[in-house]
Amino acid sequence: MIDWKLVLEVIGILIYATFMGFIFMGIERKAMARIQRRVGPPIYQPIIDTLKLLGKKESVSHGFIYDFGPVFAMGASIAALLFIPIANFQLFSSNADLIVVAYLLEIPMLGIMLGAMSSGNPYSALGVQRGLLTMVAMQLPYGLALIALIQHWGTFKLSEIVALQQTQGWSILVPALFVAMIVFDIVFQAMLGLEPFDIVSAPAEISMGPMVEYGGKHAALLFTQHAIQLFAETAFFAVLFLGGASNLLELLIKQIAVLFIAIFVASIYPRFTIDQAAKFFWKWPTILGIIAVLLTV
Amino acid sequence: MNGQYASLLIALPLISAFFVPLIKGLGKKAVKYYLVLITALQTGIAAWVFQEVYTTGKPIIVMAGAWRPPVGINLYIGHFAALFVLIVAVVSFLMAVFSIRAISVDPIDKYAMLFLLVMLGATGMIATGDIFNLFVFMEITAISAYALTAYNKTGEAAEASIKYIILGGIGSSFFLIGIALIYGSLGTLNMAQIAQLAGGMDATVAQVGLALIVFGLAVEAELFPLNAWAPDAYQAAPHPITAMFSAFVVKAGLYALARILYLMQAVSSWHSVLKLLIIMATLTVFVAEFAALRQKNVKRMIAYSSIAQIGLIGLAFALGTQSGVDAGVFHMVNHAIVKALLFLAVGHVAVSLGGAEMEKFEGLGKRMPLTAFAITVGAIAAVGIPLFNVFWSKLRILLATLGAGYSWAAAVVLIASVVEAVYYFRLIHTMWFAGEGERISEGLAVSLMLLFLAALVIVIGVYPDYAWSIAQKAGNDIFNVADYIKNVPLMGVGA
Amino acid sequence: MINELMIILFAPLIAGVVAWALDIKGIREAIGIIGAAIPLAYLVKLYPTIIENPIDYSITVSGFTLQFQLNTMSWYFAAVASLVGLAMAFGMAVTSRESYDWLFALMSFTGVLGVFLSQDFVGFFLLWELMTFASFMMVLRRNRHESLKYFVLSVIGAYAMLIAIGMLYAKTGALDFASIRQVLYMDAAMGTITTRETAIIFGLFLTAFGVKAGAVPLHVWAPGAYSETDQSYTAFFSGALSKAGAYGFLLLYILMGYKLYAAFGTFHNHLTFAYIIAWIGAITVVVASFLAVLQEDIRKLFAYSSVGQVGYILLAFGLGSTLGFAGGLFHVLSHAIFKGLFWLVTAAIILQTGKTQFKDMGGLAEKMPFTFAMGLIAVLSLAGIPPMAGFASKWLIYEAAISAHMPLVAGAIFLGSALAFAYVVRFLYAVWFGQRPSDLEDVKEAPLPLLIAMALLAIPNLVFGVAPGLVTQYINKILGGEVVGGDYYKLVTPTGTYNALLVTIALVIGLAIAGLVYIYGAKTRKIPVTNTYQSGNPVTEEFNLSIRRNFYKPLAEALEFWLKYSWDRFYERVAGMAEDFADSLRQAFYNGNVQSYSWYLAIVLLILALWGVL
Repeated sequence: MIDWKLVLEVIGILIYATFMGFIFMGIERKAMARIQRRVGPPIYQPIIDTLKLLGKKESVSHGFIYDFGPVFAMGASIAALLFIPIANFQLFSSNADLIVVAYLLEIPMLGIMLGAMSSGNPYSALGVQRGLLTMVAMQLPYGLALIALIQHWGTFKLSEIVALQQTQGWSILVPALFVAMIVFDIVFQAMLGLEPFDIVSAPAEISMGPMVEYGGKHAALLFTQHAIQLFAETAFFAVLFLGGASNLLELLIKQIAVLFIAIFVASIYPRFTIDQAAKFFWKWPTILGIIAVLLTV
Repeated sequence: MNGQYASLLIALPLISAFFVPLIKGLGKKAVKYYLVLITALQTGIAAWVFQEVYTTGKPIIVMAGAWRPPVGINLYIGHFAALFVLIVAVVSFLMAVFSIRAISVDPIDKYAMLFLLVMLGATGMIATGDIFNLFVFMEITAISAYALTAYNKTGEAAEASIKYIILGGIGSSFFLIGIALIYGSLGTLNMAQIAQLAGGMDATVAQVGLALIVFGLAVEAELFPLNAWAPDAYQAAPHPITAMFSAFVVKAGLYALARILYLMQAVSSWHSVLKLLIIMATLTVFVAEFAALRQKNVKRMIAYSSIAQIGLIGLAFALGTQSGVDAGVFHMVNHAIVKALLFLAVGHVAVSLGGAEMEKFEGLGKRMPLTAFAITVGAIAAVGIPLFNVFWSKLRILLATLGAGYSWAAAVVLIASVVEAVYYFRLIHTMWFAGEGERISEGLAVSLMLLFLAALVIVIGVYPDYAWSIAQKAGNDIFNVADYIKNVPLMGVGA
Repeated sequence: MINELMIILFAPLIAGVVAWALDIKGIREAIGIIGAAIPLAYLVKLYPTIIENPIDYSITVSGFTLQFQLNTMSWYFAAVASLVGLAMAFGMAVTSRESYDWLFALMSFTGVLGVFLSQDFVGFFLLWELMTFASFMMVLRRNRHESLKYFVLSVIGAYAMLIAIGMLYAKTGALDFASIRQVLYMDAAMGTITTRETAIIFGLFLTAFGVKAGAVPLHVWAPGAYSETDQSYTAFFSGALSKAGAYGFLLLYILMGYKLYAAFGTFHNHLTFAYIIAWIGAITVVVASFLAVLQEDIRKLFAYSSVGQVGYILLAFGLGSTLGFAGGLFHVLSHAIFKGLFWLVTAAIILQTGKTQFKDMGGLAEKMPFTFAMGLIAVLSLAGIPPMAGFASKWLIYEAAISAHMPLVAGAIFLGSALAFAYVVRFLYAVWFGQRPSDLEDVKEAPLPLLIAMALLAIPNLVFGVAPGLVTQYINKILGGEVVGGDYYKLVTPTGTYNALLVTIALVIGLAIAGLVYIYGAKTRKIPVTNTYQSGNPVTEEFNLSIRRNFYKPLAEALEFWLKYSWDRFYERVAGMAEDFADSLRQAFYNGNVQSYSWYLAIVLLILALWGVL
């Protein structure tokens, strides 16, 4: 009864995604460093960091929810990943659609928030507050971009969206969807927690916000979670706007392209304050989003 | 039993009123108990008449001195009259009992006499079949009422009474002129015959006559803007009398208005009179409810509410449809019960605590829980909450109003009802959830009466069928003029 | 002969009256709970039969024929209400010690059931009023001002409905739904009822149901009324009573849908009247959710949240597609169970701590673990986290809104969801986590009946979350067609699909992997909440570092411009003006001067003359 091929695919993709996610994190740090004319760490540095954290003899805990938060976050990231069609691997994606995946991609946030809140550190609380407000701010343009996409392709199913793009051309070649892509890309910056929307962690202000209390294996879990999430989100972008991919290499190229755009944007802009971010999101991206949805009605 | 005994309804209070000075010699108490006894007897007779009329389904026609109408004066105790005579008698009885506790000011014999005369007048107005006789009874009622308004011998009472006299006097004068015009034109004062001949009346005379009668009766029936006397009079009058004012005196006037209105249906200006009445009645509701909103004196507040409810009944009658009249009668019954309850309870509080100001009601739920409960039931009923009697009649009236196409009137009435809800619920909150107090004795008799009336409110609310069927019959009595004419043996004069 | 419907309908009311009259501690509660359980028991018993044969019952009261019917739709609504009602009764057994509360809580229960079961406008209006009145009395006891605000708005709504009913009665001559529906259906072709009249009737009904559903701008009563009553009762108030408004909108479709379509036509391929409803819903979602985020009182937060969530239902109904109805109906259930659960959690918190403001709370997760777990379930469901019931219904609404091509309305859902996420997390943080104020050190877990009540509502959240097909298949029967396909675990719409079981499995896999990493990682040492990194500024225990007040201040700053305007203040001002008007009216008219009174007489005579009567 058990579909062994699927099981193998799942295991394989999970390992691949985790690894590539770490590499993406490494690329991010390296590229940022090069732009700022530093040498930067080696690309595999995040893997080393995570292994080191795992190797710590003892970690501190602020209670059950504090432990549960990172576990929940990572579990949810994995679940989200399983519903995205990764290149020629469909995984579970025929059983969930865009809305489900969009929600699943948000759940890890709740896990991180739960853990952060239970730590009792005011910086974490501030981070939670900022994280949620960013989400509130970005959700409207984000939603509009997704709606434009769904309206254009007439389906919610990710696999069908990919299939349609492969026969009719990528989403970004459609003018309305190109607008939607711009909106999505702005939002994407916030989803990845990069400048100008790295308000959540804001290392210089609130000491990494939600993550401030975490160390040892908890932090390792969060790092891994971040890697998977990074992979899933870039793949999500590629699936939605860049025509998906027929093999992992094609997907990788598209993911890295997406990543580099994000890095370039991040390295140019300084950080917004949270109310500025909200006002910004509700102005230009929203207007563009409305244009996009009205063009695709 | 012979239906002619129904004339006792008029005779008993009249004769007993004249006996009051004799009873006076036995002491103050004796007068009060005498009053109770007479009203109890009256209730018994009224109950018998009611039972008679509703079982046979035929009206009782009493012919004075065996002269047949239209030569002789007749009483017409149909379904409506039988019902309302009973209400008059019951409310009078309850208030007579209440008077034992509530009335301490002298001269108690005058009080008793006037009390009986008010009852007599109202009974007569409802029962009579002769339009001049109607005027006489109205005057009896009104003059007794003027006197009773001033009974408390305070400055305000005197002032209120004077206002009442002036306005009431003007009103009845015009009423009389109206009757004179009709008599001049038709040569008859018998109401059945007027109805029969109304169609052939000179149009101008009919118009003017009808208009003057309506104008005159509107003062008694408290229609806006002719009701300015009412709040003062209600507030100044002794508590039992206020309850009687609200429960039947004003309704007798309203009935007379409705009766004459429908008798003269054939008059050409009938519809424009109705329209005017609808406007007046709607404004009555609106102004009175708003006036009650910030009232500091609870008795006065309920007086305004009473005026508003009367306006609602007036509206129902002025619709000129069967459903409107039925609903109006139903509301009359319900309103009589509710307002008797409220004025009784508020009067009781005023007697016990020395005033009816809003502050006196703080913590009433703890001091006089039963009375507070009764007021609560009355207030909730007056607002028109389901499972209480007024809900049904209010619903009926509104459906009838909308059915007749007067959506604006329904809307105005409903806006006013919102205001009504606000002040009644403020009162309820004040009674139960504000202030503290020690429990004080509430008196057995009054408690029983309150419970009886409250139970009646809820019983009719939960099981309105019986009351509604009675109201329908009574409404039909007013609306269906052809039957009215047929029932009165007119000696073959006229048609 | 006593009909089952009458038992379902009046069991709560009778139990309430008996409990009130007896007023013996213990027995009162037992009677109340039994009375609240009877409708649910009967509904469950009747479930197999109603799909094939609806049960009818009619009685004649005061010349009106009151008709009741238990059909697929009324069963659904009644069952939702009964479930919440039973939970309410369990909750009230500990939170309320007054027979007064029992009487009116159960009276409103009867009212709500009656509204759902009625098949004619007299019974509908009667029970609607009863429901309003009873819920009003629950509030009056605690706060006069808020209760009157609630009552006045409700009564305006009820009277608007009454006028509409009367107008329909005048036009159709019928008061029962079946005849009205038929007459209006025929009239759509003939058009004897003009567009203007139809618009008035529609507007009046919209007001009536909008008030009860708390649609913006008629929502202002909700925060006050939901807060100022027994919180166990609020579970029912917000969970079931507000659904009466949503049900009303559905009724509007059933009775007048075709006529409204014929009268107003379409607007950009949407039914015009439905489009209005959809936008009312969308605005309600956004406004109420924003306000919920900014609240400082736990009750107010959930009150606004309730308003917002009912907005989703209206929005879904306004889409006008069968998928929209399916989503709305599902959300009726999920909102009832998660918001009912929230209010019971709130009741437990308030009962055990006596506090209502976020600033006075914190760190309660350790003290009330079961209540916290229940609260977490409610949070997950409300925030729409798969696989919870709240997600399944919201997902259907998303699908419906986007496939109905109402992108901006769908955008409002996205925004509303993010806001919902924000306010529930705020609740989580302020109440359960962080440093505990010292006066909450000896707080205990909530008493057993309240825990039972919570469990009663928490279980459906999970069950219908993992197996949403249970609900959608029933909804298919209501709507009479295969609107949402799939099986128990999987929902399939024409454009999308959601397999709840598979999502659950994927989450379990993910959690298992992460859990393994955690378990095989290094051992942990527990440290107190106050032992945190403070950038080298050690703080002593006296300082409570948790951020409880103005948690979302930056949002308030960003919204500064909009927050200047408030419907609430607007209504207060109107009410004040009405009172002043009343005063001046009285003083001008009843001025106590007999001379002016005489003038009134003269004026009336004059009018009589001018009228052409004299």
